[in-house]
Amino acid sequence: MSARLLARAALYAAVYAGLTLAPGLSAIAYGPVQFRVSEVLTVFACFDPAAIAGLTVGTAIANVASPIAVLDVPFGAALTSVATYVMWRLGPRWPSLVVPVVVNGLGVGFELALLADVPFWYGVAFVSLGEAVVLFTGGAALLAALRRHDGRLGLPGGTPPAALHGGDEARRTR
Amino acid sequence: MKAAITQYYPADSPLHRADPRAKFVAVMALAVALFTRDSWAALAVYAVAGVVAFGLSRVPLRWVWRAMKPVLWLIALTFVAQILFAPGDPFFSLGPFELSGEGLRLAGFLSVRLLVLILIGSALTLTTPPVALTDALAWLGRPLRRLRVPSDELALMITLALRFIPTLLVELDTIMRAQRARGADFSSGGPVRRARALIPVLVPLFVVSFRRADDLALAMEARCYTPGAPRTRLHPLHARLTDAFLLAVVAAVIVLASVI
Repeated sequence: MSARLLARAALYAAVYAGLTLAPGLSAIAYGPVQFRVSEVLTVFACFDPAAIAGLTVGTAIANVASPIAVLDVPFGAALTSVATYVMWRLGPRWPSLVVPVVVNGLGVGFELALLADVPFWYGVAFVSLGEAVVLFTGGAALLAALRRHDGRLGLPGGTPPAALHGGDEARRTR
Repeated sequence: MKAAITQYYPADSPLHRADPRAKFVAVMALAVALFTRDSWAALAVYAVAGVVAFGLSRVPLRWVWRAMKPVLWLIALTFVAQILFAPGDPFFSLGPFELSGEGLRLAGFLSVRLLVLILIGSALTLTTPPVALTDALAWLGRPLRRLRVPSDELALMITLALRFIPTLLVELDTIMRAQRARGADFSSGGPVRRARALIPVLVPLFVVSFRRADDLALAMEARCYTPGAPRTRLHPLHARLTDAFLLAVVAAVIVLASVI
């Protein structure tokens, strides 16, 4: 793993954990009907393999703040790694948006059945609903935006944004 | 803008001094064992173990309470699930809602088990700083390197991410204020409208983070970071006899709970 890949993965992790823990957004980030705004980040896994490791680590960090961290950390990390890996294999296509909805729905549904004896399919329905709202709105918008200008956000293969828009960095080097 | 990234409570106690690897293994073993037996007697053994661990940790009671408060919804959910899908003969029913002695007992058992799980988990998260926890994970993950899982790189990733979370939260705050000043509205409308309102916040945040990632990679390469090479640590981990004792006690608790 190159330093470049590692640094990008670390930043994905920081953004995921930051958005999950951010005050105001975090109130709705845990529980059966959860709206984790940070889940839109999984869309990046369609473009960038660094997001697989980064978001897995990010989920683990964010879930340490969960009261049931002992279960949530390994579960969350495992589910995110599976979902993002499948998304990377599928690439930037619309069906990719369904992957985290299904994977997290089944996984967290199982966790709820184990902990609170919630009937499995009810748990799956609740969790998938929250996840679907996030991914089919914000996630879809992000996927569309990234498909239009992949690279321009500094994704691999693209020109860094500063060079395109003449931002701070371009000015600094002048 | 403040956010609790970890639950660590700094103090000087036998549990704070214990090796993070031993604590991690002990807590994971207890958490798994907790789910293998469905008896009140075994649960009581684990509850006592959790209370003793909490006593040893010298963490104020309200810190554990703070960890438990957010799971009250999960406990409520447990009871609702038992009322809606009650097993056994109901002694009270109102349309689809039924109450049975068996269902209430089961809900009570699951709730107590959840609280014991939090108590045991807190013994790790409240007494171990995140960096020590990361080091422990890196060490425990070493056998996985044979399966080409880069445990040291993952640990470095965690450390870097922890360092950047506060920076990015400040950045996020700045961007949200900037967009509000331009008339952005984040708190009205339905879920779709709210999600759309977040796009002008998220895109600059991503651009800023990718830029930081580039700078970080450059800084690491300039300092001769070599991926996969052995790394030294500022605070090397040292296992002591007390850590072996901790593991022995935990093993004894699990054996006791499985025969009782």
